[in-house]
Amino acid sequence: MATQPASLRPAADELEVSIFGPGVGECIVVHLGRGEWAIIDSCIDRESRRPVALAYLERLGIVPANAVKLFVVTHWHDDHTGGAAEVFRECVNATFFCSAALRSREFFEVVGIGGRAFEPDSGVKELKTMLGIIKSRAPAGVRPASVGPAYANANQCLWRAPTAAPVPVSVHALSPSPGAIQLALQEFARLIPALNAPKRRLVAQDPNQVAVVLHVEAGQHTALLGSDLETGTDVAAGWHAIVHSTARPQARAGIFKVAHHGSQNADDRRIWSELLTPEVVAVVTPFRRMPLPKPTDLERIKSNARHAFLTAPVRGSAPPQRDAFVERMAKATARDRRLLEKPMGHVQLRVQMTRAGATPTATLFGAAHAI
Amino acid sequence: MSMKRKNYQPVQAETALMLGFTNIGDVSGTPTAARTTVEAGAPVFVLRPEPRVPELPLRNREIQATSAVTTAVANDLKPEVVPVVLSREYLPERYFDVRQFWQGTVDSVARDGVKAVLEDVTNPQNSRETAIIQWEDIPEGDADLVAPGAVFYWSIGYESTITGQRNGVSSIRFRRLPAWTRSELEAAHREAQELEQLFGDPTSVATTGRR
Repeated sequence: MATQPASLRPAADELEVSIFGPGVGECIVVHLGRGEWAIIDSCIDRESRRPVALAYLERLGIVPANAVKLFVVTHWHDDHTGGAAEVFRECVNATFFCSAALRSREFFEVVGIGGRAFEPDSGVKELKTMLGIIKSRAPAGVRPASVGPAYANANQCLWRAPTAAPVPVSVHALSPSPGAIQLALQEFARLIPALNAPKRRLVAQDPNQVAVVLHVEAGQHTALLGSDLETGTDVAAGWHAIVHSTARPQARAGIFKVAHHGSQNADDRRIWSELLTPEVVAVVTPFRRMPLPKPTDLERIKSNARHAFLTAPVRGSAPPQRDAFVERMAKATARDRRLLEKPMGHVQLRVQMTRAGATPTATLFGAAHAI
Repeated sequence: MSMKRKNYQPVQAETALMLGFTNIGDVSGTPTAARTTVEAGAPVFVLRPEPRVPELPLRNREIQATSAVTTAVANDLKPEVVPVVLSREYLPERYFDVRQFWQGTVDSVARDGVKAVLEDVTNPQNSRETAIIQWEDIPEGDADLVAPGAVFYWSIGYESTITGQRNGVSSIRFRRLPAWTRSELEAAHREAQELEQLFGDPTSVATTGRR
Protein backbone atom coordinates (compact mmCIF):
# COMPACT_ATOMS: atom_id res chain seq x y z
CA MET A 1 0.00 0.00 0.00
CA ALA A 2 2.65 2.52 1.04
CA THR A 3 4.90 3.52 -1.79
CA GLN A 4 7.37 5.55 0.23
CA PRO A 5 8.56 5.44 3.79
CA ALA A 6 6.44 7.50 6.17
CA SER A 7 9.61 9.03 7.54
CA LEU A 8 10.39 11.06 4.42
CA ARG A 9 9.90 14.76 5.12
CA PRO A 10 8.12 16.98 2.61
CA ALA A 11 10.20 19.52 0.72
CA ALA A 12 10.14 23.11 1.99
CA ASP A 13 7.75 24.13 -0.80
CA GLU A 14 5.47 21.12 -0.57
CA LEU A 15 1.98 21.29 0.87
CA GLU A 16 1.24 18.14 2.82
CA VAL A 17 -2.14 17.18 4.19
CA SER A 18 -1.91 13.98 6.22
CA ILE A 19 -5.22 12.60 7.41
CA PHE A 20 -5.31 9.94 10.12
CA GLY A 21 -8.39 7.93 11.03
CA PRO A 22 -8.50 4.75 13.02
CA GLY A 23 -12.22 4.03 12.73
CA VAL A 24 -13.29 6.43 15.42
CA GLY A 25 -11.29 9.61 15.84
CA GLU A 26 -9.42 11.74 13.39
CA CYS A 27 -6.47 14.06 13.14
CA ILE A 28 -4.97 16.11 10.33
CA VAL A 29 -1.36 17.22 10.08
CA VAL A 30 -0.57 19.95 7.55
CA HIS A 31 2.81 21.09 6.31
CA LEU A 32 2.50 24.82 5.74
CA GLY A 33 5.89 25.10 4.04
CA ARG A 34 9.42 25.87 5.26
CA GLY A 35 9.18 23.25 8.00
CA GLU A 36 6.16 24.83 9.68
CA TRP A 37 3.20 22.66 10.57
CA ALA A 38 -0.39 22.77 11.74
CA ILE A 39 -2.28 20.11 13.66
CA ILE A 40 -6.04 19.91 13.31
CA ASP A 41 -7.83 17.86 16.00
CA SER A 42 -6.29 14.88 17.72
CA CYS A 43 -6.73 11.18 18.20
CA ILE A 44 -4.73 8.53 19.96
CA ASP A 45 -2.86 5.72 18.30
CA ARG A 46 -4.08 2.69 20.26
CA GLU A 47 -0.76 0.92 19.68
CA SER A 48 1.64 3.58 20.90
CA ARG A 49 -0.90 5.40 23.13
CA ARG A 50 0.48 8.65 21.74
CA PRO A 51 -1.40 11.35 19.87
CA VAL A 52 -0.96 10.36 16.23
CA ALA A 53 0.17 13.84 15.19
CA LEU A 54 3.08 13.91 17.63
CA ALA A 55 4.08 10.35 16.78
CA TYR A 56 4.02 11.15 13.05
CA LEU A 57 6.06 14.34 13.33
CA GLU A 58 8.61 12.57 15.50
CA ARG A 59 8.89 9.82 12.88
CA LEU A 60 9.74 12.55 10.38
CA GLY A 61 12.44 13.77 12.75
CA ILE A 62 10.55 16.96 13.51
CA VAL A 63 10.37 18.50 16.97
CA PRO A 64 6.72 19.47 17.48
CA ALA A 65 7.60 22.13 20.03
CA ASN A 66 9.54 24.04 17.39
CA ALA A 67 7.70 23.23 14.19
CA VAL A 68 3.99 23.31 15.03
CA LYS A 69 2.66 26.85 14.66
CA LEU A 70 -1.06 26.25 14.70
CA PHE A 71 -3.23 23.81 16.62
CA VAL A 72 -6.96 23.82 16.01
CA VAL A 73 -9.53 21.79 17.91
CA THR A 74 -12.49 22.07 15.57
CA HIS A 75 -15.10 21.00 18.13
CA TRP A 76 -15.31 19.34 21.50
CA HIS A 77 -16.50 15.84 20.60
CA ASP A 78 -14.49 12.86 21.88
CA ASP A 79 -13.50 11.62 18.45
CA HIS A 80 -11.67 14.87 17.64
CA THR A 81 -10.02 15.56 20.98
CA GLY A 82 -8.25 12.36 22.09
CA GLY A 83 -4.84 13.44 23.36
CA ALA A 84 -5.46 17.11 22.48
CA ALA A 85 -4.14 18.28 25.84
CA GLU A 86 -0.91 16.36 25.27
CA VAL A 87 -0.52 17.93 21.83
CA PHE A 88 -1.12 21.36 23.29
CA ARG A 89 1.30 20.78 26.15
CA GLU A 90 4.10 19.80 23.77
CA CYS A 91 3.47 22.31 21.00
CA VAL A 92 4.48 25.32 23.03
CA ASN A 93 4.97 27.55 20.00
CA ALA A 94 1.57 26.84 18.47
CA THR A 95 -1.36 29.20 18.59
CA PHE A 96 -4.30 27.20 19.87
CA PHE A 97 -7.67 27.89 18.28
CA CYS A 98 -11.05 26.46 19.11
CA SER A 99 -14.56 27.30 17.98
CA ALA A 100 -15.81 30.70 19.08
CA ALA A 101 -18.90 28.93 20.42
CA LEU A 102 -16.73 27.59 23.23
CA ARG A 103 -16.12 31.09 24.55
CA SER A 104 -19.54 31.12 26.10
CA ARG A 105 -21.07 30.90 29.51
CA GLU A 106 -23.06 27.93 28.22
CA PHE A 107 -19.95 25.97 27.29
CA PHE A 108 -18.21 26.77 30.56
CA GLU A 109 -21.30 25.36 32.29
CA VAL A 110 -20.82 22.18 30.22
CA VAL A 111 -17.19 22.05 31.36
CA GLY A 112 -18.30 22.39 34.98
CA ILE A 113 -20.80 19.57 34.50
CA GLY A 114 -18.42 17.46 32.42
CA GLY A 115 -15.90 17.16 35.21
CA ARG A 116 -18.56 15.70 37.46
CA ALA A 117 -20.49 13.56 34.99
CA PHE A 118 -19.77 9.99 34.12
CA GLU A 119 -17.64 10.43 31.01
CA PRO A 120 -14.11 9.12 31.34
CA ASP A 121 -13.03 9.89 27.76
CA SER A 122 -14.85 13.10 27.21
CA GLY A 123 -13.56 15.86 24.99
CA VAL A 124 -14.76 18.25 27.65
CA LYS A 125 -12.11 16.88 29.98
CA GLU A 126 -9.41 17.42 27.36
CA LEU A 127 -10.47 21.03 26.86
CA LYS A 128 -10.64 21.57 30.60
CA THR A 129 -7.09 20.25 30.91
CA MET A 130 -5.99 22.62 28.15
CA LEU A 131 -7.56 25.58 29.94
CA GLY A 132 -5.62 24.49 33.03
CA ILE A 133 -2.38 24.46 31.03
CA ILE A 134 -3.11 27.97 29.74
CA LYS A 135 -3.81 29.13 33.26
CA SER A 136 -0.47 27.75 34.42
CA ARG A 137 1.31 29.46 31.52
CA ALA A 138 -0.19 32.88 32.18
CA PRO A 139 2.24 35.21 33.96
CA ALA A 140 1.23 36.25 37.45
CA GLY A 141 -1.37 38.99 37.40
CA VAL A 142 -2.26 38.39 33.74
CA ARG A 143 -5.72 37.17 32.83
CA PRO A 144 -5.29 33.71 31.23
CA ALA A 145 -7.62 34.68 28.38
CA SER A 146 -4.90 36.99 27.12
CA VAL A 147 -2.65 33.93 26.70
CA GLY A 148 -5.27 31.75 25.05
CA PRO A 149 -7.18 30.06 23.66
CA ALA A 150 -7.84 31.97 20.45
CA TYR A 151 -11.37 31.63 19.15
CA ALA A 152 -12.14 30.91 15.51
CA ASN A 153 -15.02 32.58 13.69
CA ALA A 154 -16.17 32.26 10.11
CA ASN A 155 -13.90 33.95 7.56
CA GLN A 156 -11.16 34.70 10.04
CA CYS A 157 -7.49 34.26 9.14
CA LEU A 158 -5.92 31.96 11.75
CA TRP A 159 -2.40 31.87 10.36
CA ARG A 160 -0.44 33.43 7.54
CA ALA A 161 3.15 32.89 6.37
CA PRO A 162 5.36 35.97 6.72
CA THR A 163 5.29 38.26 3.70
CA ALA A 164 8.94 37.39 3.08
CA ALA A 165 8.05 33.73 2.57
CA PRO A 166 8.65 32.56 -1.02
CA VAL A 167 5.12 31.15 -1.31
CA PRO A 168 2.04 32.78 0.23
CA VAL A 169 0.32 30.40 2.65
CA SER A 170 -2.70 31.11 4.81
CA VAL A 171 -5.19 29.25 6.95
CA HIS A 172 -8.74 30.61 7.27
CA ALA A 173 -11.68 29.40 9.31
CA LEU A 174 -14.89 29.23 7.27
CA SER A 175 -17.06 28.51 10.30
CA PRO A 176 -18.71 28.85 12.79
CA SER A 177 -21.05 31.53 11.55
CA PRO A 178 -22.81 33.79 14.08
CA GLY A 179 -26.01 31.83 13.46
CA ALA A 180 -24.24 28.55 14.17
CA ILE A 181 -22.86 29.90 17.43
CA GLN A 182 -26.40 30.71 18.59
CA LEU A 183 -27.49 27.15 17.80
CA ALA A 184 -24.47 25.78 19.66
CA LEU A 185 -25.35 27.75 22.76
CA GLN A 186 -28.79 26.16 22.71
CA GLU A 187 -27.19 22.74 22.39
CA PHE A 188 -24.88 23.39 25.33
CA ALA A 189 -27.82 24.51 27.43
CA ARG A 190 -29.60 21.23 26.69
CA LEU A 191 -26.60 19.31 28.06
CA ILE A 192 -26.97 20.84 31.52
CA PRO A 193 -28.71 18.19 33.62
CA ALA A 194 -31.73 18.82 35.81
CA LEU A 195 -31.68 18.24 39.53
CA ASN A 196 -31.98 14.48 40.27
CA ALA A 197 -31.35 13.48 36.65
CA PRO A 198 -29.04 10.45 36.41
CA LYS A 199 -25.37 11.14 35.75
CA ARG A 200 -24.66 9.93 32.27
CA ARG A 201 -21.83 10.41 29.87
CA LEU A 202 -22.33 13.65 27.92
CA VAL A 203 -23.80 12.86 24.52
CA ALA A 204 -23.46 15.46 21.77
CA GLN A 205 -26.56 16.54 19.91
CA ASP A 206 -27.09 16.47 16.15
CA PRO A 207 -26.55 18.13 13.78
CA ASN A 208 -23.09 19.58 14.32
CA GLN A 209 -23.30 23.09 12.90
CA VAL A 210 -20.55 24.67 14.92
CA ALA A 211 -17.36 22.80 13.96
CA VAL A 212 -14.49 24.82 12.50
CA VAL A 213 -14.00 24.21 8.78
CA LEU A 214 -10.56 25.25 7.54
CA HIS A 215 -9.40 26.58 4.20
CA VAL A 216 -5.66 26.15 3.67
CA GLU A 217 -4.27 28.07 0.72
CA ALA A 218 -0.65 27.34 -0.21
CA GLY A 219 0.56 28.87 -3.43
CA GLN A 220 -1.37 27.28 -6.29
CA HIS A 221 -3.08 24.70 -4.10
CA THR A 222 -5.87 24.73 -1.57
CA ALA A 223 -7.23 22.22 0.91
CA LEU A 224 -10.70 22.29 2.46
CA LEU A 225 -10.84 20.49 5.80
CA GLY A 226 -14.49 19.86 6.56
CA SER A 227 -14.28 18.71 10.18
CA ASP A 228 -17.71 17.38 11.25
CA LEU A 229 -19.74 20.29 9.97
CA GLU A 230 -23.25 19.25 8.97
CA THR A 231 -26.12 20.92 7.24
CA GLY A 232 -29.29 21.51 9.18
CA THR A 233 -32.36 23.46 8.26
CA ASP A 234 -30.98 26.85 9.30
CA VAL A 235 -29.52 28.70 6.32
CA ALA A 236 -27.40 30.84 8.66
CA ALA A 237 -25.49 27.84 9.98
CA GLY A 238 -23.55 24.79 8.88
CA TRP A 239 -22.54 24.39 5.23
CA HIS A 240 -25.40 26.65 4.14
CA ALA A 241 -23.66 29.60 5.77
CA ILE A 242 -20.33 28.76 4.15
CA VAL A 243 -21.58 28.37 0.61
CA HIS A 244 -23.67 31.54 0.91
CA SER A 245 -20.81 33.58 2.34
CA THR A 246 -19.35 36.30 0.16
CA ALA A 247 -16.56 36.98 2.64
CA ARG A 248 -14.86 33.58 2.50
CA PRO A 249 -11.61 32.99 0.59
CA GLN A 250 -12.54 32.20 -2.98
CA ALA A 251 -9.83 29.72 -4.03
CA ARG A 252 -11.34 26.33 -4.80
CA ALA A 253 -9.79 23.35 -3.11
CA GLY A 254 -8.20 20.35 -4.81
CA ILE A 255 -7.89 18.50 -1.49
CA PHE A 256 -10.99 17.85 0.61
CA LYS A 257 -11.24 16.19 4.00
CA VAL A 258 -14.87 15.19 3.62
CA ALA A 259 -17.06 16.52 6.43
CA HIS A 260 -18.61 14.37 9.12
CA HIS A 261 -17.39 11.01 7.89
CA GLY A 262 -19.09 11.39 4.54
CA SER A 263 -22.64 11.47 5.89
CA GLN A 264 -25.44 12.69 3.65
CA ASN A 265 -26.28 15.29 6.27
CA ALA A 266 -22.88 16.91 5.83
CA ASP A 267 -23.09 17.11 2.07
CA ASP A 268 -24.39 19.82 -0.19
CA ARG A 269 -23.98 19.81 -3.95
CA ARG A 270 -22.73 23.39 -3.75
CA ILE A 271 -19.69 22.23 -1.77
CA TRP A 272 -18.61 20.26 -4.82
CA SER A 273 -19.60 22.88 -7.37
CA GLU A 274 -18.52 26.07 -5.60
CA LEU A 275 -15.80 25.20 -3.09
CA LEU A 276 -13.93 22.38 -4.80
CA THR A 277 -12.24 21.82 -8.14
CA PRO A 278 -13.46 19.08 -10.49
CA GLU A 279 -10.12 17.28 -9.91
CA VAL A 280 -10.54 17.20 -6.15
CA VAL A 281 -8.96 14.44 -4.11
CA ALA A 282 -11.36 13.55 -1.29
CA VAL A 283 -10.47 11.75 1.93
CA VAL A 284 -13.03 10.29 4.30
CA THR A 285 -12.46 9.19 7.88
CA PRO A 286 -14.89 6.50 9.03
CA PHE A 287 -16.97 6.59 12.18
CA ARG A 288 -17.76 3.04 13.13
CA ARG A 289 -20.10 3.89 15.96
CA MET A 290 -22.83 4.88 13.47
CA PRO A 291 -21.37 3.44 11.16
CA LEU A 292 -20.38 6.04 8.55
CA PRO A 293 -19.96 6.47 5.65
CA LYS A 294 -22.79 4.32 4.31
CA PRO A 295 -22.38 2.60 0.93
CA THR A 296 -24.57 5.27 -0.66
CA ASP A 297 -22.30 7.96 0.81
CA LEU A 298 -19.27 6.29 -0.71
CA GLU A 299 -20.96 6.16 -4.10
CA ARG A 300 -21.88 9.84 -3.88
CA ILE A 301 -18.38 10.90 -2.87
CA LYS A 302 -16.78 8.75 -5.53
CA SER A 303 -19.01 10.24 -8.19
CA ASN A 304 -18.06 13.79 -7.17
CA ALA A 305 -14.31 13.43 -6.63
CA ARG A 306 -11.56 12.60 -9.08
CA HIS A 307 -9.89 10.41 -6.46
CA ALA A 308 -11.35 9.32 -3.14
CA PHE A 309 -9.80 7.52 -0.17
CA LEU A 310 -10.86 6.11 3.16
CA THR A 311 -8.39 6.19 6.03
CA ALA A 312 -9.70 2.84 7.30
CA PRO A 313 -12.48 0.37 6.48
CA VAL A 314 -15.94 1.42 7.59
CA ARG A 315 -16.50 -1.94 9.13
CA GLY A 316 -14.04 -2.75 11.88
CA SER A 317 -12.08 -5.96 11.95
CA ALA A 318 -13.39 -8.94 13.86
CA PRO A 319 -12.42 -8.81 17.52
CA PRO A 320 -9.70 -11.12 18.80
CA GLN A 321 -10.86 -14.69 19.31
CA ARG A 322 -11.36 -15.44 22.95
CA ASP A 323 -11.77 -18.97 24.25
CA ALA A 324 -14.55 -21.01 22.68
CA PHE A 325 -16.83 -20.78 25.71
CA VAL A 326 -16.59 -16.97 25.87
CA GLU A 327 -17.16 -16.66 22.12
CA ARG A 328 -20.22 -18.94 22.26
CA MET A 329 -21.75 -17.02 25.15
CA ALA A 330 -20.91 -13.62 23.62
CA LYS A 331 -22.56 -14.53 20.32
CA ALA A 332 -25.74 -15.46 22.15
CA THR A 333 -25.93 -12.01 23.75
CA ALA A 334 -24.52 -9.57 21.19
CA ARG A 335 -24.30 -9.48 17.43
CA ASP A 336 -22.08 -7.69 14.98
CA ARG A 337 -19.16 -7.27 17.35
CA ARG A 338 -16.40 -5.33 15.60
CA LEU A 339 -13.23 -3.55 16.58
CA LEU A 340 -13.80 0.17 16.95
CA GLU A 341 -10.40 1.74 16.47
CA LYS A 342 -8.04 -0.64 14.77
CA PRO A 343 -6.17 -0.50 12.59
CA MET A 344 -4.98 3.08 12.11
CA GLY A 345 -5.02 4.37 8.56
CA HIS A 346 -3.21 7.36 7.12
CA VAL A 347 -3.68 9.15 3.79
CA GLN A 348 -0.78 11.43 2.98
CA LEU A 349 -1.29 13.98 0.19
CA ARG A 350 1.62 16.05 -1.06
CA VAL A 351 1.93 18.58 -3.83
CA GLN A 352 4.44 21.25 -4.74
CA MET A 353 2.87 24.57 -3.81
CA THR A 354 4.01 26.40 -6.95
CA ARG A 355 3.01 23.72 -9.48
CA ALA A 356 -0.32 24.87 -10.84
CA GLY A 357 -2.63 22.09 -11.97
CA ALA A 358 -0.59 19.31 -10.38
CA THR A 359 -2.51 16.47 -8.75
CA PRO A 360 -1.40 15.74 -5.20
CA THR A 361 0.53 12.54 -4.72
CA ALA A 362 -1.40 10.20 -2.45
CA THR A 363 0.45 7.72 -0.29
CA LEU A 364 -1.56 5.30 1.78
CA PHE A 365 -0.45 3.77 5.05
CA GLY A 366 -1.96 1.17 7.31
CA ALA A 367 -5.58 0.43 6.57
CA ALA A 368 -6.11 3.39 4.21
CA HIS A 369 -7.45 2.50 0.79
CA ALA A 370 -9.02 3.97 -2.33
CA ILE A 371 -12.80 4.07 -2.48
CA MET B 1 -3.08 -11.76 62.74
CA SER B 2 -6.76 -11.25 62.94
CA MET B 3 -8.69 -9.35 60.32
CA LYS B 4 -9.35 -5.82 61.40
CA ARG B 5 -12.45 -4.14 60.27
CA LYS B 6 -10.65 -0.87 59.53
CA ASN B 7 -8.70 -2.62 56.78
CA TYR B 8 -11.82 -3.20 54.77
CA GLN B 9 -13.44 -0.79 52.41
CA PRO B 10 -17.18 -1.27 52.56
CA VAL B 11 -18.75 -1.19 49.13
CA GLN B 12 -22.20 -1.75 47.84
CA ALA B 13 -23.17 -4.97 46.14
CA GLU B 14 -23.32 -3.14 42.81
CA THR B 15 -19.61 -2.42 43.08
CA ALA B 16 -18.95 -6.06 43.89
CA LEU B 17 -20.90 -6.96 40.79
CA MET B 18 -18.70 -4.64 38.78
CA LEU B 19 -15.71 -6.46 40.15
CA GLY B 20 -17.16 -9.64 38.84
CA PHE B 21 -17.79 -11.08 42.27
CA THR B 22 -21.42 -11.73 41.63
CA ASN B 23 -21.87 -13.89 44.66
CA ILE B 24 -19.27 -13.11 47.27
CA GLY B 25 -20.40 -13.20 50.81
CA ASP B 26 -19.82 -11.08 53.83
CA VAL B 27 -16.14 -10.99 54.65
CA SER B 28 -16.37 -8.54 57.47
CA GLY B 29 -14.78 -11.02 59.78
CA THR B 30 -17.91 -11.42 61.78
CA PRO B 31 -18.61 -15.15 62.10
CA THR B 32 -22.08 -15.02 60.73
CA ALA B 33 -23.63 -17.23 58.11
CA ALA B 34 -22.36 -16.50 54.62
CA ARG B 35 -24.76 -15.19 52.02
CA THR B 36 -25.27 -17.38 49.03
CA THR B 37 -25.54 -14.40 46.71
CA VAL B 38 -25.07 -10.70 47.08
CA GLU B 39 -28.36 -8.91 46.96
CA ALA B 40 -28.59 -5.48 45.39
CA GLY B 41 -27.72 -2.95 48.02
CA ALA B 42 -26.33 -5.50 50.45
CA PRO B 43 -22.95 -4.64 51.91
CA VAL B 44 -19.88 -6.64 51.05
CA PHE B 45 -16.32 -5.88 51.96
CA VAL B 46 -13.42 -5.52 49.63
CA LEU B 47 -9.99 -5.28 51.08
CA ARG B 48 -7.96 -2.24 50.16
CA PRO B 49 -4.21 -2.33 50.49
CA GLU B 50 -4.07 0.74 52.67
CA PRO B 51 -2.02 1.01 54.75
CA ARG B 52 -0.94 -2.44 53.67
CA VAL B 53 -2.45 -5.80 53.07
CA PRO B 54 -2.55 -7.63 56.37
CA GLU B 55 -1.95 -11.29 56.67
CA LEU B 56 -5.28 -12.94 56.79
CA PRO B 57 -6.30 -16.24 58.27
CA LEU B 58 -6.56 -18.36 55.17
CA ARG B 59 -8.22 -21.60 55.82
CA ASN B 60 -9.08 -23.67 52.84
CA ARG B 61 -9.74 -21.35 49.99
CA GLU B 62 -8.71 -17.97 48.67
CA ILE B 63 -10.28 -15.80 46.05
CA GLN B 64 -8.26 -12.94 44.68
CA ALA B 65 -9.42 -10.19 42.42
CA THR B 66 -7.25 -9.94 39.37
CA SER B 67 -5.82 -6.61 38.37
CA ALA B 68 -7.82 -6.83 35.15
CA VAL B 69 -11.03 -7.11 37.05
CA THR B 70 -10.20 -4.37 39.46
CA THR B 71 -9.69 -1.85 36.68
CA ALA B 72 -13.44 -2.07 36.21
CA VAL B 73 -13.90 0.11 39.20
CA ALA B 74 -11.33 2.74 38.39
CA ASN B 75 -13.97 5.37 38.82
CA ASP B 76 -15.03 4.14 42.19
CA LEU B 77 -12.03 2.55 43.82
CA LYS B 78 -8.36 2.61 43.04
CA PRO B 79 -7.15 -0.26 40.84
CA GLU B 80 -5.13 -1.70 43.64
CA VAL B 81 -8.24 -3.01 45.36
CA VAL B 82 -6.75 -6.42 45.95
CA PRO B 83 -7.12 -8.99 47.22
CA VAL B 84 -10.48 -10.17 48.39
CA VAL B 85 -9.93 -13.12 50.63
CA LEU B 86 -12.69 -15.36 51.76
CA SER B 87 -12.21 -18.13 54.19
CA ARG B 88 -14.16 -21.27 53.53
CA GLU B 89 -16.68 -20.70 56.23
CA TYR B 90 -17.81 -17.58 54.41
CA LEU B 91 -17.86 -19.09 50.94
CA PRO B 92 -21.22 -18.90 49.29
CA GLU B 93 -23.01 -21.96 48.03
CA ARG B 94 -22.66 -20.61 44.51
CA TYR B 95 -19.83 -18.63 43.08
CA PHE B 96 -19.00 -17.08 39.76
CA ASP B 97 -15.83 -17.66 37.80
CA VAL B 98 -15.50 -14.67 35.47
CA ARG B 99 -13.88 -15.44 32.12
CA GLN B 100 -14.62 -12.21 30.31
CA PHE B 101 -15.70 -8.83 31.54
CA TRP B 102 -16.61 -5.73 29.54
CA GLN B 103 -17.69 -2.25 30.48
CA GLY B 104 -20.16 -0.93 27.94
CA THR B 105 -21.54 2.48 27.07
CA VAL B 106 -24.78 2.84 25.15
CA ASP B 107 -24.40 4.72 21.87
CA SER B 108 -27.94 4.45 20.58
CA VAL B 109 -31.12 2.56 21.25
CA ALA B 110 -33.18 0.89 18.54
CA ARG B 111 -35.97 -1.65 18.27
CA ASP B 112 -33.58 -4.39 17.23
CA GLY B 113 -31.12 -3.84 20.04
CA VAL B 114 -28.84 -1.50 21.91
CA LYS B 115 -25.78 -0.29 20.06
CA ALA B 116 -22.88 -0.02 22.47
CA VAL B 117 -19.15 0.44 22.77
CA LEU B 118 -17.41 -2.25 24.82
CA GLU B 119 -14.16 -1.81 26.70
CA ASP B 120 -12.40 -5.05 27.53
CA VAL B 121 -11.69 -4.98 31.24
CA THR B 122 -10.27 -8.49 31.29
CA ASN B 123 -7.66 -7.58 28.68
CA PRO B 124 -7.44 -3.79 28.67
CA GLN B 125 -4.86 -3.79 25.88
CA ASN B 126 -7.57 -4.97 23.48
CA SER B 127 -9.15 -2.37 21.23
CA ARG B 128 -12.66 -1.23 22.01
CA GLU B 129 -15.47 -3.00 20.21
CA THR B 130 -18.87 -2.05 18.93
CA ALA B 131 -21.75 -4.48 19.35
CA ILE B 132 -25.50 -4.68 19.27
CA ILE B 133 -26.85 -6.11 22.49
CA GLN B 134 -30.13 -7.92 22.12
CA TRP B 135 -32.99 -6.64 24.18
CA GLU B 136 -33.80 -10.08 25.57
CA ASP B 137 -30.40 -10.12 27.29
CA ILE B 138 -31.04 -6.89 29.15
CA PRO B 139 -32.68 -7.49 32.53
CA GLU B 140 -36.23 -6.18 32.62
CA GLY B 141 -35.44 -4.32 35.80
CA ASP B 142 -32.72 -2.35 33.99
CA ALA B 143 -34.84 -1.35 31.00
CA ASP B 144 -35.51 2.12 32.36
CA LEU B 145 -31.75 2.74 32.57
CA VAL B 146 -31.10 2.08 28.88
CA ALA B 147 -30.37 5.39 27.17
CA PRO B 148 -27.49 6.93 25.22
CA GLY B 149 -24.59 7.44 27.61
CA ALA B 150 -25.77 4.76 30.05
CA VAL B 151 -23.10 2.41 31.38
CA PHE B 152 -23.39 -1.34 31.85
CA TYR B 153 -21.26 -4.30 32.79
CA TRP B 154 -21.23 -7.52 30.84
CA SER B 155 -19.69 -10.60 32.40
CA ILE B 156 -19.36 -14.07 30.97
CA GLY B 157 -18.32 -16.97 33.13
CA TYR B 158 -19.26 -20.12 34.93
CA GLU B 159 -21.57 -20.18 37.88
CA SER B 160 -20.58 -23.10 40.08
CA THR B 161 -22.04 -24.54 43.21
CA ILE B 162 -20.20 -26.25 46.03
CA THR B 163 -22.01 -29.42 45.00
CA GLY B 164 -20.16 -29.36 41.68
CA GLN B 165 -22.78 -28.06 39.26
CA ARG B 166 -21.50 -25.59 36.66
CA ASN B 167 -23.46 -23.42 34.24
CA GLY B 168 -22.32 -20.91 31.64
CA VAL B 169 -23.68 -17.43 32.33
CA SER B 170 -23.72 -14.22 30.30
CA SER B 171 -24.94 -11.41 32.49
CA ILE B 172 -25.59 -7.76 31.71
CA ARG B 173 -26.21 -5.30 34.49
CA PHE B 174 -26.79 -1.61 33.94
CA ARG B 175 -25.13 0.70 36.34
CA ARG B 176 -27.51 2.77 38.39
CA LEU B 177 -25.76 6.07 38.06
CA PRO B 178 -26.10 8.48 40.91
CA ALA B 179 -28.38 11.45 40.42
CA TRP B 180 -27.24 15.04 40.19
CA THR B 181 -27.57 16.74 43.52
CA ARG B 182 -28.20 20.41 44.12
CA SER B 183 -24.75 20.87 45.66
CA GLU B 184 -23.03 19.25 42.66
CA LEU B 185 -24.93 21.41 40.22
CA GLU B 186 -24.04 24.48 42.26
CA ALA B 187 -20.37 23.46 42.37
CA ALA B 188 -20.39 22.96 38.58
CA HIS B 189 -21.95 26.39 38.18
CA ARG B 190 -19.34 28.01 40.41
CA GLU B 191 -16.60 26.39 38.35
CA ALA B 192 -18.25 27.65 35.16
CA GLN B 193 -18.32 31.17 36.57
CA GLU B 194 -14.64 30.96 37.44
CA LEU B 195 -13.78 29.72 33.94
CA GLU B 196 -15.81 32.51 32.43
CA GLN B 197 -13.96 35.05 34.54
CA LEU B 198 -10.63 33.61 33.36
CA PHE B 199 -11.37 32.79 29.74
CA GLY B 200 -14.69 34.31 28.73
CA ASP B 201 -15.45 37.34 26.67
CA PRO B 202 -14.67 40.24 29.04
CA THR B 203 -17.56 42.22 27.62
CA SER B 204 -20.09 39.60 28.73
CA VAL B 205 -18.57 38.05 31.84
CA ALA B 206 -21.21 37.56 34.48
CA THR B 207 -20.24 38.41 37.98
CA THR B 208 -23.19 37.09 39.92
CA GLY B 209 -26.13 34.79 39.66
CA ARG B 210 -27.24 32.14 37.30
CA ARG B 211 -28.98 33.04 34.10
